[in-house]
Amino acid sequence: MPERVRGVSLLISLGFLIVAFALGYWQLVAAADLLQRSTNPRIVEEDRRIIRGEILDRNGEVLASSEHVGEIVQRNYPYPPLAHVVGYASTRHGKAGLEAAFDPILRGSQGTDWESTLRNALLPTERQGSDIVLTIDLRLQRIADEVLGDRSGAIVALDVGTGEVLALASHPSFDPNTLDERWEQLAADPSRPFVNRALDGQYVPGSVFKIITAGAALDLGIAQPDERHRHEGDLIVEGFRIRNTNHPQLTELTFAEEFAWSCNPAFALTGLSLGFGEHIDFNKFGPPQAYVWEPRDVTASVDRFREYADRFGIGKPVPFDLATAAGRISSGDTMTAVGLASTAFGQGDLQVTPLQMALVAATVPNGGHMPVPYLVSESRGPDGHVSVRRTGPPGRQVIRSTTASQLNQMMKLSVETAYARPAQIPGIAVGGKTGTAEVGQSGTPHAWFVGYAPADRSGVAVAVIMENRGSGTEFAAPAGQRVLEAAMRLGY
Amino acid sequence: MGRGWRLVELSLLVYPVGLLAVAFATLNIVRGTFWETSDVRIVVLFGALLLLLHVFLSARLGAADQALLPIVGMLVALGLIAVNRLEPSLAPRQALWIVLGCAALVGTALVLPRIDWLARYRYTWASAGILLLLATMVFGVDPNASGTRLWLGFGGLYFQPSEIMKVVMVTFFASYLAEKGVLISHAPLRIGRVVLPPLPYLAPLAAMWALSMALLIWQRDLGAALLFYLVFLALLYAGTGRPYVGVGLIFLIVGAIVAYTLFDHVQLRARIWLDPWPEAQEAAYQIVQGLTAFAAGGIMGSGLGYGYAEYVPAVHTDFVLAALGEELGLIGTLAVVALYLALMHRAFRIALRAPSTFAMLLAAGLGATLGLQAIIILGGNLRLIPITGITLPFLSYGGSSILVNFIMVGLLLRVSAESPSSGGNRA
Repeated sequence: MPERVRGVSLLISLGFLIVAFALGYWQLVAAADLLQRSTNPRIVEEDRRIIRGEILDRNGEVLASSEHVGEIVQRNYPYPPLAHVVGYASTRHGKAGLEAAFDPILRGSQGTDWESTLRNALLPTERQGSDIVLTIDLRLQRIADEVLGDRSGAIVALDVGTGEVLALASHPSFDPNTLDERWEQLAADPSRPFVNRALDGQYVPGSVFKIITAGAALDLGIAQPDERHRHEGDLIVEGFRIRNTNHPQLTELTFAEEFAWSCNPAFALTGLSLGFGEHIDFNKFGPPQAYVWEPRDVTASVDRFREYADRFGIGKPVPFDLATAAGRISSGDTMTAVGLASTAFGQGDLQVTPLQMALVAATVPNGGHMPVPYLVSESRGPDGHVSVRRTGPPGRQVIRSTTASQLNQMMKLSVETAYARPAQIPGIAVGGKTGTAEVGQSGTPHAWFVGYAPADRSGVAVAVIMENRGSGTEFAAPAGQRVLEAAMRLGY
Repeated sequence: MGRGWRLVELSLLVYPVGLLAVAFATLNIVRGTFWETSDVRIVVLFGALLLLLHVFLSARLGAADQALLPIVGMLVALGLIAVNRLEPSLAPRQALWIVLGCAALVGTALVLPRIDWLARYRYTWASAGILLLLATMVFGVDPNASGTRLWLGFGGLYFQPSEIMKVVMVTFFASYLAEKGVLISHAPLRIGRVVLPPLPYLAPLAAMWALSMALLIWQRDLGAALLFYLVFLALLYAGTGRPYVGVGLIFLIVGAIVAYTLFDHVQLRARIWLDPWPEAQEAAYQIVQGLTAFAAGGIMGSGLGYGYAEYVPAVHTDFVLAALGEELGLIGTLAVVALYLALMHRAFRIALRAPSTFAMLLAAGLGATLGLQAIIILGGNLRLIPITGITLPFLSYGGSSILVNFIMVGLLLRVSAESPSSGGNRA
């Protein structure tokens, strides 16, 4: 009988062993998954009690702050138009923008130094997050928001040499202070106010894309800025007519002028010729009949074209403090001669984001070196001392510096004499390129402008897109001019 | 029996008192209060109570097991910490039940002339127990709106008769099997080639068991029904050695299927056990929140007072370990499991040294009851089995449970004190 009593005891001990394993499973193995579920009230509970750090612009202007309202902490956003950058931290609707991307620092769970980490770990109720300081200049941001007005569009302004983002506007926007009350309405709004158009808006670039095509041609040595060509007729590529309508006043142009006057046949031909390793024979253009492109295998040109688009960051997300869209470029296998010709002047199966285009613009005055953009320059512990200071990560050389300086001259020419004239700032060298991107048969085109001032490494680059607004020269270039001029006035 | 220094016990008792004092101090710091007088009172009372029990045992049951009281003290201290953390207003009430429990322990150990005296009146106990259950069916109340009328009220204090039935059943089974176990195991009933248990000898046992099971299922106290059944099987096996356990497990499965088809609430329990996630906000809210609390604890826990176990419904009764799991972590919960394991092993150690077959089966039955009860509720908390509303011995808030558990410990101490080989003061 004692053996059987021992048996019972062993059996029950086995039960406890299983219980111990189950404890290990739920408290260790499955814990992370369980805590992420929406059924975990701790996330919301803790957020309600944490005094989140402040978000400040580069001059210390408050963009987001927290204050106690009784037991709970309320988040205030003094400059609501910046909602797409600053984001929101709502107990009901989650987090977005920098509030989400820098959540661990703002909550103080990822301490900025071991001392504050330890303090937060030991005294969780008194938790105080760290502040973050942005590269945004609220004064320039105000101008950008004013310039966009109530139209849909986006403006990105950044420091050419360092990649610091000085202004980032996306309209329409929303007020994060009244998010909870207006959520349903905002979510259903057909103008999609939650989309950050500067980072996630994917647009056909139109003529601003010619910067990349020109950069490739100059870099490969198949075109020179001062080469003169005659242009009096259209270009026909495998039955597809590319009209020569952008410069009726000029019949003989240099490559630089073709760029400044945005000549579509010239850039279609440039794109088609990228892979042939020889100078482009423009001289077959002649009055009065159209020039018919003699069919050739364009595989090598497609490869060159895609290689440069890739170097300029088209078709992949920009590494950034916030999530960015990739844009789109048709893949090499499927690109035909017609596709290559139209993509080369910025139409066709091609989409870019305003941030990507601002970086393309910045590459030119920066000696062919594309900076890496960033928004958050430092974080400060609750006691105010700077604990982490970031500088721009190193960028990469996209085109030769000689190519960049040729391209710079061409973009300055565009502002001085051609379509980008509205971007002129008296006494300051400005480079720029406009675009009027066709969006289907009936729609009013998107107005584009990308440019920079002053036209060297110390400058500020800007990209402007105004949805369905019309001509880039008429609408986007003056907007870009106002932002660049304000940046100059502010001493950038 | 008799006097004896119990130094091992005395030195071990430092731990539960120290644990309670440190934990209450922590809670006061977290809450920003400076030693609530009721908290101080509870700590002092607890220390005094354990010391009094120690003195009593030294004076009257010097040879009794020296580890039982410290283990129980640790569990009771954890229970007080949990109730103070989760429902501070109930802490004095819990303390009162502990005082009553200690009194019952002393009473049990003193009143019995000899442990075998219990066996002599087994039908009296059984009848009284059944009567109590019947009375609950007629006069039962539901003082805390749990949905089941399992309590009998006496002037503001409520008592759950199914708790005392645990002791009654174990005593009855132990005494019956001690007397008839040999007969049962050696006189099988043969019908042709089929060997059946000797039904005439098993009849009183089966009748007693069936009656109480019927009552419990009638009252929807499924956890208690499962506990009784498992303890019954354990004692039947220990007492007769016949492999009725296999038959018993088949009955358990059949019973579960019958209960599933008959009762809606059983179907609901089974459904949320198998897949709680689709109903995480409704029917499965409690189990999902309980598991999340365990997960939130991780290894080290959030620290006492820093968890969010309030989100688990009935956390201070059914899910008390989830609250401890969140705030004390895996380290804390494994320590609690180790305490139950130690308690159960102590009981079986006492059983193996018991002076008589009845005492052995009694001690083993009490140990099995404590151990299985902990496993059933912890298994429910951890989604190993469907959740049932029984208490975690000594830890959950609940008066009758505490009282009866102390009576069980009193019986174990008494058996160990009568043990011929208990060898004086050694633990």
